[in-house]
Amino acid sequence: MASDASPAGLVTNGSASGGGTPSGTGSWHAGVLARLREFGPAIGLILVLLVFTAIAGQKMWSTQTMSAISTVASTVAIVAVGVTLLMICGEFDLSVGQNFAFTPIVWTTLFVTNGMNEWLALAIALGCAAFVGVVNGWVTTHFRIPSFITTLGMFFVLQGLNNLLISGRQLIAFEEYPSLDLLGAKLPGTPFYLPLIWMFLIATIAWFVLTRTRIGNWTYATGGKVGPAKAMGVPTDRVKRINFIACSFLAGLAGCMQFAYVRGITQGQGDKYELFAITAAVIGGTSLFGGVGTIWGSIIGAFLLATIQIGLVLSGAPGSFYVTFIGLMLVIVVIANVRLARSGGRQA
Amino acid sequence: MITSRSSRRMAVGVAAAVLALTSVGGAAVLAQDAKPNIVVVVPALDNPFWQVQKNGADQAGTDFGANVQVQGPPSDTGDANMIPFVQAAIAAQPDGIALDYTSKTMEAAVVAALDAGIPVVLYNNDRFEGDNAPDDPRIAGLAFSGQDEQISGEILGNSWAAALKDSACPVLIVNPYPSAFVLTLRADGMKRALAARGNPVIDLEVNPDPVQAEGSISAKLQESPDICGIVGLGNPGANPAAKYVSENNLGIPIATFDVGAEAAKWIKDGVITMAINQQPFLQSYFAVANLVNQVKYNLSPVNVNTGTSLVTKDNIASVQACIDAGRC
Repeated sequence: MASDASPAGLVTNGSASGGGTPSGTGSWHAGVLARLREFGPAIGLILVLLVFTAIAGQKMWSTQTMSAISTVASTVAIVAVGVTLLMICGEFDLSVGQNFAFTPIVWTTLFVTNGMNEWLALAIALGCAAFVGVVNGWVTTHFRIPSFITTLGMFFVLQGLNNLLISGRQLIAFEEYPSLDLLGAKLPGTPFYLPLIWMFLIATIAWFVLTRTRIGNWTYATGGKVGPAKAMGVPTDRVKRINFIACSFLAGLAGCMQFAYVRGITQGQGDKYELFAITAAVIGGTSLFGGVGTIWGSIIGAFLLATIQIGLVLSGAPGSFYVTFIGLMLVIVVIANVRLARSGGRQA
Repeated sequence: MITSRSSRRMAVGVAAAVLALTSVGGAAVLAQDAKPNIVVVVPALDNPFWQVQKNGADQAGTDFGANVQVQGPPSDTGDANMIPFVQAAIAAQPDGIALDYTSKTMEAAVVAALDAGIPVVLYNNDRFEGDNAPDDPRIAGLAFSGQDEQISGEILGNSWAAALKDSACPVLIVNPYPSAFVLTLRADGMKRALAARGNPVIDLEVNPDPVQAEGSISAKLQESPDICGIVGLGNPGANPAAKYVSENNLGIPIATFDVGAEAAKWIKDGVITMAINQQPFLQSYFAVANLVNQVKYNLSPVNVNTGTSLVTKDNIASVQACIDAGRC
């Protein structure tokens, strides 16, 4: 789908293709600030890598570290891509962490416990993941309630369902399964695993749709200013519902990839992933208020989180210190983005 | 003279009396047939250890003829989160309550149950030592079925540590649920056993998500390359360690508590070198049995040492059937 020329001023800034100057201001200053916002996460990642290399030395670049960081980052990143799409159009999904467990639980219940064909079971499970998004989207747009609430409710619904389905047990599948190899096998001769490749593929597709297609344009418009968007004929409700489905689908797919890598699934999988995914998106430059964000920014955000998590342990910090660090960083990043936005004359 | 009205009244009176007597008698018969209602409060519902406890309680309900309700928070977030469930249980006035007495935090709720006239037994933990000493004299006398988590930790430590290459190298202890008090108790026992040998200990808290846990463990093993043993305080701490150690051929012995499906596989492969099975099925099973016998026959509950079973590559085959049935 070719991108139509967007009405001037309708699409707010933040799309990765051109980046950034708000139409109408045209100042060099605003342009620099926009670039800073776009490249901020990348600069942050490089800085963090340098700092940890200084502290932990060569270990920061060992194959085990590369493997750990890329594995931790890839599944969070795929969830973050979905969350980013949704946040750009102005909505949240707090149920992604539970969906991350729910989808592979459905999959394994079907093909491990009940002997269904693994591919059919996967299709059904991914269908369930998408259906969660259908429900989230429909309830939010039809009843006009905050998505924060809809998806918080869905979080608890899925948590209960997960308990019903698996009841504290663990389902495992260590035998040969082509579907598991496709989703989670190691790339021979490298310390990397297939979820990393999937992450790049998914991110590329999402970036293309967001920046080069009409639906992508509409996504930014819906999150920017809903009123003018609607007035220009953007079907905002439909855009939101599509993004809800994309978000839930990606969360479920990422969960299945994680299961394919670990070969075991419990209710604990995806614990706090909704927080990690939203944090990755925000650190990557996505605005909490909609209309602003990039796919690659969120990918970098996910790698930043993983690097900090692994780097802190490598440096001898207590394992739990990581979440404290992330919390501080999140607040600092949002403060910085708000400041940048205010001086650039647009929303944060 | 008996008029027709008074005879009608008398007939009604007699009928009413008969009805009342039969209903009382019937109620008495029903009461004898009515099953005791037992509530078992657990710290969590989302992991195999507590699910097996639930299975034990349910089986005891079937075997001993009781209605058993297992209640608890969805995930283990500390012993204080069991208190609301105990209070709800007290309000329901069951015939007995079984509790996991993890610390003095539980005391007030136990006292409330006893004051309400509800029999209480303890299972899995009865921590009365040191600061946990209960003020109410009734509590120390409550019957207990189980194997104290600290003792289990020590038993596992003593048996497993023989596999460590020497007594100077550090052992990594992985905690996937820092807020779960029972894991801290397991760690305490394990650390006592290791301290007796002289092995220093390194603590690592991880997220129960398997990929994040594996990443943290891999980083820790790089940061302290002299780690010669890994203890997972629960399977979510041990399984990621086993995956990493196995894939990188590190040959580091691993110990864990409880045997879930994936842990069983690692034990078969010899990657997890020893696991301790506290027989959680029996802990709640005998807790329910105690209460039913007290309600039905006025027998005082008894202490039951459910023992422990150490699982290694050599006996995992025989334990597997027990795991599959949800009794181990």
